[in-house]
Amino acid sequence: MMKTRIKELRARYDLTQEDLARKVGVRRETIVFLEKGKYNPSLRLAHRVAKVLNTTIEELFIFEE
Amino acid sequence: MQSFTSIEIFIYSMLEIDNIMLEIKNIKLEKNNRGERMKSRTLNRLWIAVTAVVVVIAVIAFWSKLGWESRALLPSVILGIVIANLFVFSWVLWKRMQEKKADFPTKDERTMYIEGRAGHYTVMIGLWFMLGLMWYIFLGMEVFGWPELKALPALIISILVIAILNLGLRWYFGRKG
Repeated sequence: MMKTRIKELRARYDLTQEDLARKVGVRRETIVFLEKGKYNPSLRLAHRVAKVLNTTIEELFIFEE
Repeated sequence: MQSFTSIEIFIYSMLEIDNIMLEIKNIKLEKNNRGERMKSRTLNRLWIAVTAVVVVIAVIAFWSKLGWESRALLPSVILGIVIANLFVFSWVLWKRMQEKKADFPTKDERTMYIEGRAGHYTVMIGLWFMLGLMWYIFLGMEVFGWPELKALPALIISILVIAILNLGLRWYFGRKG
């Protein structure tokens, strides 16, 4: 099970899903599924999202056993 | 079958038009609410409302032209569904073009993943379907004397099964994530 802090951090930087999608170069739906933890991103995408939100991949994606 | 008077049909079509107007209003509201992904529910509702109203209009148009006793119900319903689907398809296409203009990629890693997954399952299921057809021809027709299946219908069925399966799977994986 994967949880993400994307929504929380996105709100902190006042970014909409659309803005974030544009910044990382993906479709809006991908951000929606990422936030819900329903899509496991590639390492490259995870890195890009973390960079835009000024955080690390470890802090952004939380894996639960 | 329950029969409707022309006044009842008129009232129902007016109600459907009202539904469509509400949906358009909802879409506008959602557009204003930046950052919120347009819910797929809206598209489904729009599709249902547009299909219903176009079918009602098509039925009225056919019956008024050919007379209320004619058997125009089924063709008019089919025509209505086709026109409605064309309308909704054009709307989706227009939306995609708007997204492209706004610098959103039409394909990203998730869509490619979905397409790859759907393609994989399509090939596997399609292969088993073809094998089934082959066994039908070799075993069913030759040994058990089942009805003959000619090459052209078999080809058309195979193409339709694979195409519909692929579309269905892409839709399913797109929703499931």
